[in-house]
Amino acid sequence: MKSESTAPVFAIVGNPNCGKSTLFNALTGLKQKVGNYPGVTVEKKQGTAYSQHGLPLTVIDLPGAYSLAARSPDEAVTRDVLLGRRADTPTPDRIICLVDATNLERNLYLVHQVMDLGRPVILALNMMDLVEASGMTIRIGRLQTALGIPVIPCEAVNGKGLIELKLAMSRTDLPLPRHAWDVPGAIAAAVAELQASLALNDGKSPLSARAEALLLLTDQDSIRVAGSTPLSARTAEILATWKKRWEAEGMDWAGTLVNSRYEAIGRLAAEVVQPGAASGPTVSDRIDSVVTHPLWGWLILGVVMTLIFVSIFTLAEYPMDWIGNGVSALAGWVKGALAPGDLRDLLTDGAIQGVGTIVTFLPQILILFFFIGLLENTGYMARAAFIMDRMMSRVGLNGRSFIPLLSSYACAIPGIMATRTIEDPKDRLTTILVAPLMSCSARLPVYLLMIAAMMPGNLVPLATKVGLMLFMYAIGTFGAFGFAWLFKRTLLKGAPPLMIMELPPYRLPGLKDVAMHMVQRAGLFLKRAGTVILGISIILWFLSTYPKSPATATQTQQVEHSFAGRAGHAIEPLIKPIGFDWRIGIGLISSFAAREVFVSSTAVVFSVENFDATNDHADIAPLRVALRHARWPDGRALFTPLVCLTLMIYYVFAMQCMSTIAVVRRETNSWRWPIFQTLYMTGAAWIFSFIIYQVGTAIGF
Amino acid sequence: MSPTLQTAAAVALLVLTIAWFIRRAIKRRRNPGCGSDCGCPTADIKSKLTHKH
Repeated sequence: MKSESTAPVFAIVGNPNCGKSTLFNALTGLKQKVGNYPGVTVEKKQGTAYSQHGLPLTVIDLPGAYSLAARSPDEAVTRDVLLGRRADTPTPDRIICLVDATNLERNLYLVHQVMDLGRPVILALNMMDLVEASGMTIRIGRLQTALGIPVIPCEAVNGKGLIELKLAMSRTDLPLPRHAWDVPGAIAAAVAELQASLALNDGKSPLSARAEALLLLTDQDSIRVAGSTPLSARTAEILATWKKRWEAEGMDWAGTLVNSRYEAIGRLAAEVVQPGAASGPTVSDRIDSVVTHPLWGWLILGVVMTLIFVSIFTLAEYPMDWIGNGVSALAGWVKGALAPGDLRDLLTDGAIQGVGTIVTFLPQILILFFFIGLLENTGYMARAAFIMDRMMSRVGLNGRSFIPLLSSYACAIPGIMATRTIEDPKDRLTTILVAPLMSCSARLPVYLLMIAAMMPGNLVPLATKVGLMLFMYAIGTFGAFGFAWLFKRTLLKGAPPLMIMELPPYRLPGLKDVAMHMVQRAGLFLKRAGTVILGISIILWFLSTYPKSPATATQTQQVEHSFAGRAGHAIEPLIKPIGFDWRIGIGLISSFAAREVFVSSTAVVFSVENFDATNDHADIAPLRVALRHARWPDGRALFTPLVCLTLMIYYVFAMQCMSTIAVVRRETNSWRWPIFQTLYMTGAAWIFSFIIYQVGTAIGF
Repeated sequence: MSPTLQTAAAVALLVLTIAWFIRRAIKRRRNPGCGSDCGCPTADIKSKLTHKH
C-alpha cells in the first residue's frame, strides 16, 4: 500500500539492539520501553517526526533484523513492509538504516540488502561514543562516497547527531544508493528473469523487483505472515524452475549469493574502518569475563536476585504499612459515616477491603520493576540471558526463548507475545506452553501474603523469607525448564536449536527510562486494582453475603450459607487432599480471573474487618492475623506453614489467568493448546501440592 | 440511609458491575487479548500484526 497522505514515510531498520527504539523515541517523542537485550522491539511502531521546516514525517520503527532473508515472523514483517507487501502498512518512501558503529561490518549486511530496494537510504552510525572510546576510526566521508548515500554519525541515547539526521530527512533530493556489488554470473540470468516477472506480473518497480528477486533466491520466501501479498503464479513458476535446475546441477545458489555479498562488504569495511591502536579487551569485555563466567556468573546472578528480594522485603515495609493504615482509616471513616446496612458492608468489606489489600502490595511491585528496569538498562539482563542460555539449550529450549520467559516474570501475556521472535514453530509453541510457569507479578501478592501468614512479623529472620521467595521463583523457572524438556522429547520433538546472542556494552542506567518503566507499571497495577479487582470484590461480596442467613448466624455461618460458600463446598472434596478448605476454594475459583484476586477474595471471605486484631501483634496487618486464626471445624489451624507452602506451590504451577488463556488461544490460533496448557498446569499444581501436603503431614508438619 | 435504601443501592452497584464485565467481555471478543491491562502493545498494533502459523 502506498502512503495516502503527503507526509513522506520513513522506516527505521537495523539489527536488533542497535538503538532503533531510542532513535524512534528521540525522533517522534513517543514513549516506549527501552531495553538492552537483543530483540526488544517485537512490534512495529509508528509515529510522527517533523522536518526542519515543520512538515510532518511519518516514521515506522520496524522489528530488528540481521537480514531481509527472514527467519522469523518478526523479520518477515520487516521484509514485507520494506518490499511493500503489506496492505496494512504504507510502503516506506525512504529508509533510515541504523547501525551499531562498533560492529559496522556485521551491520552492513542488512544495509547492503536495503540499498538494493531502490529507495533513498540514510545511514545512521549509532554508538559513535563507543567507537571513539575503543580507539577505532570510521572514515565517514569515504563510506558516504562508496555507498552514495548520506552517512550520519550519531549517539541516539544522548541525542547527538539528531539535528544532522533530521536535516537529512528533510532533504527532498535524497540520492539513491550506488550499487557497488555485482550479482555472481551464475545467478545473474535467474535474477534478471525473476526481476522481469516481478515487474510485469507482480506490479513491482524495476529496482524493487531486483531486490525482491535476490531475496527470493536467498530466503526462498520460506516465512510468510498474514497480510503478506502472495507471489504471482508466473513468478513462483520461474523460481521453482531455476531451483530445480540448480538442484540438479548441485549448485548452492543461496550460499553463492550470500558469500558474494559478504565479500563486497568485507572489502568496504577494510577500506573505511581503522581498528584502534589498542586492540585489547574493552571495559565491557573485562566485566564480562567475570559476569558471564561459568561459576562466577551464576554466583553474581544469585547475589543480584537475592538483593532484589531483600530490597522488596525491607524497603517496602514502611510504605506498605502507610497504605495499610490508610485503607483501614478509609474503611473506618465509611463505617462511621454510614448507618449499618448492605451498602456500607459492600463498600467496606467488599470494595475497600478487596482493592485496599491489593494496593498494599504496590510498593513491593514497584521495587521489583525498578530493579528489572535497572538491569535491562545497564546491559546486565543480556548477560543473564547468556548465562541462562547454557541451561536452556540443555533442555532443548531456544536461547531466544529467554526474552519471552524473562518478560513472563512481569506478566505471561507480553512474554507469550514476545515468542514471535522465535523462528522454529515447535520451539515457539514450547515456550508459549511453559511461559506462564515463570512467577509473574500477579503471584507476588499471593506469595507475600502466604509468607506473612506462615512467618509472622520479626519472629523469623529476613533471610528465611527471602530464601522462600527465591525458592518460589526458582521452582517456577526450573518447572518451566522441566516441562520444556518433557515437551521437546515427546509432543514437540525437534532438532536442538542454535542461537547467536549479542551482548551490548555496559551503560550507566538511564534513571528516566527506569522511572518511566516503574510509573507505567504502577499505572497498570492501579488501573487493574480500580477496575477488574474492584468489580470482582463487589461481586464476591454479594456472593458471600447472599442468600442471607438468620440474624443470629455468625459471620462464618453466613459465608458458609452464601453462594460463594456453596461453590467452595462443592469443590472441597477436590482440594481437601491438598489441605485446602472451602474458603480457600472460594479464593481459587475467584482467582481464576487473575491470580492476585486470591488476596482480595480471601480478605472478603475471611471477614477481616470484623476481626479483632488488638490482641495480636500490633505490627501485623489484619488479613494475615485473620488467616492465622482461621480454623477447620474440628479446631485445627487452617493456614499452617505446610498449607501456606502448599498454596504457594499450587499458585506456582496452576493456570489461574483467563487473559493468558485468551492470548494463547490467539497466538496458537486454536483452542487445543490453551486447553492442554490449562490441564497440564493445573494438574501438575494439584499433584505437586498433594505430594507436598501429604508428605509434610506424614512427617509431622 | 435506611437499610432498605442501602440494599437497593448495593444491588444497583452490583448490577452496574456485572454490566461492566459483560461489556468488557464483548469488547474482548471483538478484539481478543489482554485488553491492554498487562503492559503489552496496544490493541491497534496487535490487530495490525496478528499473524498465523
